[in-house]
Amino acid sequence: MFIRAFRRVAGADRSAAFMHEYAIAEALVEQIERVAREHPGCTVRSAVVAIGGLRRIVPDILRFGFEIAAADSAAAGADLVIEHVPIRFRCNGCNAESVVDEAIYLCPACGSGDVTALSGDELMLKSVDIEDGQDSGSPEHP
Amino acid sequence: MAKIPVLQNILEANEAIAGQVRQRLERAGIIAYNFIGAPGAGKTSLLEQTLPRLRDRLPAAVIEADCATARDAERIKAFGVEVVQINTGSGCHVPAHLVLLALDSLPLERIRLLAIENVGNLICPAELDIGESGKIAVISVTEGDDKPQKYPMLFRQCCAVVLNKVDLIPHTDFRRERFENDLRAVNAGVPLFGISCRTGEGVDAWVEWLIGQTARE
Ligand SMILES: Nc1nc2c(ncn2[C@@H]2O[C@H](COP(=O)(O)OP(=O)(O)OP(=O)(O)O)[C@@H](O)[C@H]2O)c(=O)[nH]1
Ligand SMILES: [Mg+2]
Ligand SMILES: [Zn+2]
Repeated sequence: MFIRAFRRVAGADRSAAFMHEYAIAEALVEQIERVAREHPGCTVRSAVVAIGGLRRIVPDILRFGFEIAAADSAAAGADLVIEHVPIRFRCNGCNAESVVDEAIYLCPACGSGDVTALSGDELMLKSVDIEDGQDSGSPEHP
Repeated sequence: MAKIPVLQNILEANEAIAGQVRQRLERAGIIAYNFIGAPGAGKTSLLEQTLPRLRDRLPAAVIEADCATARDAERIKAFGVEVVQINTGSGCHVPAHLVLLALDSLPLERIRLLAIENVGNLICPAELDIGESGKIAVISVTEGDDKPQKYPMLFRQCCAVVLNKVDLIPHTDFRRERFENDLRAVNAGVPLFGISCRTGEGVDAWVEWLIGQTARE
């Protein structure tokens, strides 16, 4: 038994690092299209996503992947606004709460590895900004 | 302009399908492990060492996911084990919907263990639920001893770690103690199996653990 699921990534760098963001971009475009379908004729202007630091997403690579994945979709040309959610840990040893830059699971206060992540694993589409198409053309339409 | 609030996990569609996979497997009484590791870590070699030792003890089937070719599936077929090959093309991981599709061509009523070899990659497969019962991290000594802290998503979530190619330790600067300390820092209790698919060292202990897991179900 053999299953093929080839996807086209026109001219894009196929390194694993890029593919990581690309897979997320593809899922994101699907989600935006679902919103757009509920508002027939609308133009998607932008989408706001919240991405936690533990996800190790490189914003520029995600934006690049989004541009490619969105081509020929309802999200084509839309701006991607990426809100970074910092990594917050609570240490189960010393109880300290800390914000860390790197996705390394160590309490900066006491060095313990026994920490609980309070935030940082977010991967969320928060909102989509659309312009309705049915109304008489708004003046800022190009 | 209207702001439409969504507040949805970007991977939600995948997670819903992973839930369907999990339900089907649970109903059939199958425990499914998702083998995750870098390209060449020895995921297929580990299965080649494991499957013959399971014969007559634990009926198993395999799903092989690679970007291209059916080579890994051919290697598994040689052991007379049912295998489905998934080619993901440029995809860096296997998504849940392809696993769901693969289940249709496996004899679920005859197996107790399903091994899914994910695409060689330490990042994306760790983030994507495919309906597995647990993730097995496969890492080889030639990748260096600093991986648990660098890829904490995988090492925190996995239910066992297989450290492969221990036969090569004398030829590398791999420090086993540092690896273990790093691993314990991100996942204190996870079972660790140091093995060599070349010499067979350590494989039996891993296989006994695996069989023990399915017995506990
Ligand atoms: N020395 C040594 N070589 C090993 C060991 N295990 C695997 N290898 C070799 O490592 C190479 C890769 O092994 P595979 O089992 O194909 O690795 P994989 O993780 O399945 O690779 P992909 O499916 O391509 O991601 C092969 O040449 C194996 O012979 C080991 O324990 N010791
Ligand atoms: Mg392989
Ligand atoms: Zn602490």
